[in-house]
Amino acid sequence: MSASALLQRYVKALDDFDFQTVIGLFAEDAEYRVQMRDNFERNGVLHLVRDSHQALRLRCETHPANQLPRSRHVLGEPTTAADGSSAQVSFSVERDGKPTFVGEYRVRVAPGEPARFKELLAVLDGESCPGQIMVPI
Amino acid sequence: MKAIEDIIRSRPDAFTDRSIYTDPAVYAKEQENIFKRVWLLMGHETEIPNPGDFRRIRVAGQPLILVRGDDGRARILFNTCRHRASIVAVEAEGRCKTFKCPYHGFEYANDGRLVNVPVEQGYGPWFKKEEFGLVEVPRVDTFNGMIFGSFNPDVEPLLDYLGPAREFMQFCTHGDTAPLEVVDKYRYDIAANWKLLIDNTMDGYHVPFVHGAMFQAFGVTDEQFNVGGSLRTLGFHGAIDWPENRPLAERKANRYMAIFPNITVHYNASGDMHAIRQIEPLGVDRMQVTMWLLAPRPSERAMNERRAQAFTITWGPGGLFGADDARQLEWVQEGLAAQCDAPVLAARSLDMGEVGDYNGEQSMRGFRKGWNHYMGVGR
Repeated sequence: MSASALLQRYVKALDDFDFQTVIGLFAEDAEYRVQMRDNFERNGVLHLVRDSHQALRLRCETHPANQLPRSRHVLGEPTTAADGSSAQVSFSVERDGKPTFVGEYRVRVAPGEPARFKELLAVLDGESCPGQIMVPI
Repeated sequence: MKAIEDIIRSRPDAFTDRSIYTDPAVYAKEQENIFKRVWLLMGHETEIPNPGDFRRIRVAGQPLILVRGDDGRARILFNTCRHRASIVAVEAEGRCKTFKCPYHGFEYANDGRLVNVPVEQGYGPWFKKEEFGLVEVPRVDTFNGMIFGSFNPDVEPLLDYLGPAREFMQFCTHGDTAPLEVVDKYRYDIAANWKLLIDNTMDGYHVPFVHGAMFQAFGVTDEQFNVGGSLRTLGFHGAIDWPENRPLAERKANRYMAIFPNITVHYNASGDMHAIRQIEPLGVDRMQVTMWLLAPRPSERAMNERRAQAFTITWGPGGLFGADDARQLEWVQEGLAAQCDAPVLAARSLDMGEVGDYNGEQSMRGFRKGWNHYMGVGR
C-alpha cells in the first residue's frame, strides 16, 4: 500500500472515531508529530505533538469519543515518491462543521508488510492554532 | 458566625461576579485600567541579540516593533507610520537598518528616527523630521532578559511592581549558573476569558480531576501524586511550587508563577525546563497564548530537543495535560454564560493567610487583589 493510500485510511479512521485502526496504522517505532509551519520552517525544536507509538496510544485511549468533536478531513492531491514510501499532501480538518486545521501531511512508510507509518508529521498553517489537539489530527 | 453574604462582601478577592469573564464592558475597562497602566511582557533580549534585529509583536492589541538599534539599545516602537498610519515593519522578524513605510516611503532608522521623506520639500518649512520619528513605548525595562514595557509613563519602577515576587522571579527566569535564552516558541488560541488561564495555572485543586485519566494511564497512584506543595500570594502575583518546603535556591522543586496581569512563568525540575506563557486577550471570551521555551545559555540543540520533548508532552494544545486544561477552560466559559447570580469561588484556605497548601486558592486571590485594585472593585 502506498503512503497516500495509507493516509486515506488514516483520515477515514479519524473521522469514524476508530482509534484502534489509527494506532494500528503506525509501526511500533513510529513517531507522530504536529508542528506549526513557522517552527517547522525554522527547524525549531518545539512541536505541538511529538508522540511515540506508546504516547499516541495513550492519547487515543484516554479521550472518550463522546467528549470529542466530530471531524471531517479533506485531502488534496498527494505528491508521492516513486517507490510509494513517502508522500506529502495538503489537508483541511473541520471539527463540528467548523474549519479548524489547515496544513500539510508529510509521511514516511515503514518497510515491510503490512504498510504502516514510520512517521507522520502534520504541519499546521497559521500564526496560531486552536488550544486543543487531544486526538491525532 | 458571619452570614455568607457578609463573607462574600468582605472578600472580593475570593468571591467574583461572573460578569468579569463575560461582559464586554468589563473587558473594555480592563484594557484601559489594567493593560494601559501596568508593566507587560513584550519579549526577550535574546530574540533580538544583534543591532538591527527586530520582531513584530502585538501586546494589548497594539502593533509594536521590538527592535535593537544600531546603538545596541532595545526599544519598543509603535508599528505605525507618522504619515498615514500604515505599519512600517511588514515582515514578522528580520534584521534591518531602516523600516520603510510601504505606502509613501517614509523611512525610519532602527532606533525610530525618521531619516527620509520622499519629496520632503512638499511639506514646507514647518516640517522637521526629528519631530516625526516612530513613537516609542514610554517605559521599557528588563528583568533577567525579559523585556517589559508599559504604555503608562508614570508606572512605578519594574522592580517595585514585581515587589514580593522578585525572589521567585529570579529563580524562575535565570538558570542555575547562566542566564536564559529563548529556544523556540509558538502560539495557540483558547475560546475562554484570559483570566481563566491564570486561575488554572495557579490551581492545584483541579489536577486529579482534569488530568486524572492521564495520571491513571501513566500508572500514577494517588499516593505518588499527592506530593504536597504550596500556593502563595506574592502581592498581586502568585506562585505554586511542589514538592513543598524545598529551599528556593534548590532546583529540585517545580515552581510556577503568575505575574499580574497576563504572564505565567514556569520551572520544571524534570529536564531543567524553563517556560514563559504570555496571554493576550483577544476579546471577552478569547485569548491567544504565546509560549516560550527557554534554556540556560549557551544551549545545545540535543539538550534543547530533550527539553522540547518534555515541554511538548506536558504543555500546549497538544500536551497530554495542556489540551485537557484548554478544553476545561472552554467548558468554564460556556458555564459562565449562565446568568444565575452565583459568584465564582476562589475561597479555599481563606484563613491560612498568604501561603496555603496545594489545594488552596491563595495564588488566585493574589491575582484577584490586583484585578480589583486596578478595576476599582471594593474601594
